[in-house]
Order: sequence, then C-alpha cells, then structure tokens
Amino acid sequence: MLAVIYCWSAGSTAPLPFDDFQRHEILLTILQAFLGWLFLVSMSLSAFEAAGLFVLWLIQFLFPSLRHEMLYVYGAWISIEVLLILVGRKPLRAFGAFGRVWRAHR
Amino acid sequence: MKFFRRNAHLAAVGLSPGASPLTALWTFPSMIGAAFIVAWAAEAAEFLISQGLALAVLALIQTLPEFAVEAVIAWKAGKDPDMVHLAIANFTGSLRLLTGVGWPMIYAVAAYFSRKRRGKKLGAIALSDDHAVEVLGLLPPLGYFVLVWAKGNLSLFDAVILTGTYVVYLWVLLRLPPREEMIEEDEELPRVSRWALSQKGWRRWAAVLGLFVVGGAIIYVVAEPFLQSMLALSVALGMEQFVFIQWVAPFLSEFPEKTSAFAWARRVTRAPVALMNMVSSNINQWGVLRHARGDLLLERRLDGPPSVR
Repeated sequence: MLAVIYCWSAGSTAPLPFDDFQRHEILLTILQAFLGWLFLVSMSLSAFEAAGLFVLWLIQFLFPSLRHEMLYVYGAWISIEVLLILVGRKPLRAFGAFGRVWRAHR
Repeated sequence: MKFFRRNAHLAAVGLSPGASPLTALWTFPSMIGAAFIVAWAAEAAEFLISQGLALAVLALIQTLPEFAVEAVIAWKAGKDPDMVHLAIANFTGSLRLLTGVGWPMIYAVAAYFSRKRRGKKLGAIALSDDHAVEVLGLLPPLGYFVLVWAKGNLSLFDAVILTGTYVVYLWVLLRLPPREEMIEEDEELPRVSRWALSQKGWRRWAAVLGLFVVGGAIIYVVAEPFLQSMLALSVALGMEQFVFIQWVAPFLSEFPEKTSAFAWARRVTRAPVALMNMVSSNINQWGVLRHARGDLLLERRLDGPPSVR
C-alpha cells in the first residue's frame, strides 16, 4: 500500500528508494521477525524465547546507537537456531502441522 | 532510530495539547470497550468461519486507525522525499514493537495467570496444528522483504507480490472449517459472543458482523481523541512530553491488539490464540504494509514538522 500511494502521489512508477540508514532499519526488522519465526516454527513459544525477544528489543530501543551491533546479535542467535535445526535438535513442526491441516480440508 | 525520530519531534511537542485530561474519562473506557467488542466478535466468528480468518479480520480492524494516517504519510512521501524516512521508521518501529513486546507480553500474562489461577507453572505456549497457517504465512512476505532490502527500493511490482502473499494467506484460511465443537461446550466463551451465536439463521451472521462494525467504528473514531487525552493526562501527571512521545504513544497505538491479546492470554488456554492474533498483525503489516502508527496521529495534530533525523 505504501508503494502504491507513493507512486500515485509522485506521479510516476519509479520505485520508492531506501538509503543506507533505512535499509539498516529494515534489515534489523527482518532479522528480528525471522528470529521470532524460528521460535514459532517448533509450534511453541518458551519462556526463554519470549524473554529473548523482549530483551533484544529493549536493548535496541534504549540504546539506538547499538543498532549496528544488534544486527550481529540477532544474526548470531539466528545462526544458533538454524544450527539446532540442522543437527535435528529442533523440530520444524509447523510444516508437518500445515500438511496435516491441508490434507484434512482439501 | 526512535530516539532520532522523536527527538526531532520535540520542537513540535512544545505545543500544548488541546485536550483536557478529563477527556480520558470517556476515551479510555471507549477504547477498551471497543477493543473488547471486536475481540468478542472474533471469538464468536470462530464458530462461523475458521479461527485464522476470524483473527485476520480482527487484526485488520485493530489497525484500522493507522490505515488512514499511513495513506497521508505515503502521499506526502511522494511529494517530499524526506517523508520517506517517516514512513519507513514507522513501518519498522511498529513491527519491532509487535514482535519484541507483543509476543513476550502474551507469554508473561499467560505465565502469571497460569500460576495464579491453576497454581501451575506455564511451560511453553503450545500452538495447535491450525496455527501452522499463521506461522508459515509469515514466511513469504518476510522472505520477499529480504529481496526488497537487497535491491534497496520498493516498487509497484513488489507491492503486487506482497499483496499476493497476503491474498494466498487469506485463501488458505478460507478453506479451513469453523470450530466444530458445540457452543455450549465452551464454558469460557464470553457472554456477548454467546449472545451473538444464540441468534438463529442470518441473524447470527448479522450479530457477529454488527459487533465487528460497531467495535471497528468506535476504534476508528476514538483513536485520535484517545491519544490526545492520554497526552493531556501525562502532562497533567507531570510526565515530560518527550517521554510520552518516545515511550507511551507507540504502545498506545497498538492498544486494541494489546487489549484482546491480554484478555485471551489471561485465560491461559487461549494464549496461543492471542499469539496468533499478533502474528496475524505481523503478516498484514509485512504483506499489505499498513503501518503508520498512532504517534503519527499525534504528530499530525500537533502540526509538527514531519521531518526525521
């Protein structure tokens, strides 16, 4: 919707450009969302995971100057989660559950 | 970013709010009431359509006030490139607030009430199979945004793809059935939801739809006076205005979502549904990009210079 109204208003179909600062913000948001997704893909949210999401959010909120470092923190946690999935310590239950739901209501 | 953005607003905030703190006496209950009405509507709707679809409708209504504001910002951004900052800042800020505060809040509320009411420690919040639609529904727009980030701009074509992911998500939800158990079996079903479902035939649909419409209309109308009265109240209580802008306004702008999530999380058994309410909000924000938040409502009212940095 943002892009549609932007183009309409600008009177051209040129894309809405992001500068480096905005790209950084978007990347941080993507990483946070992906970490959250990795937590939910096991079809549960534990106390530790909930606390993790909150603490990381609080740090970037209280100390915006650490925004760059936070990229690495999110990235590191994501790597750990992906590693747990690869070695089979963390099940990707969401895909199986979706398959069951899909087949049941086809 | 928030600090940069909001510090820039301090000049704007030098203006005194027009509202009297006493207006909070009607705006606050109205907002809470409306948030509950749409939540009751969604809970009743689960017996007519799939729970996921009911939650998607709920999430759309809860972000209704922001829809109009975002259109204004995007329009201005088309005329003035500086406004792009504001649009992006609000998009990213509100999404991070939802995942970073909303999700953990649900866990904390459910954990507290689990201990208090059942004397039992809450382990993890376990999702049911149906919730896989929301969980997996988050991935396509998120994945596509990696591409948007990599190429560094957002085009009309991207908008079409992202909206497409949202349409597919709704289409899958449309295929899922409503709840099958008898309404009488759900002892926790709120009285209003029960009333709507006790109607016969088309009246039942009309009652549920009516609740959605009434609650949504109140949220839409009350959003701005609500924020104004909260600002006036914070000033009356001696809170620095910038503290309000930095900390309180973003939270208040997600108030309807937080209310329904809180109400469901405290029932513990419904904590997974509360979580899916939030995830559904995440999906519609990534997918349809409806993301300007209430702090912009406030800014517009204060006639602040809409500059960032």
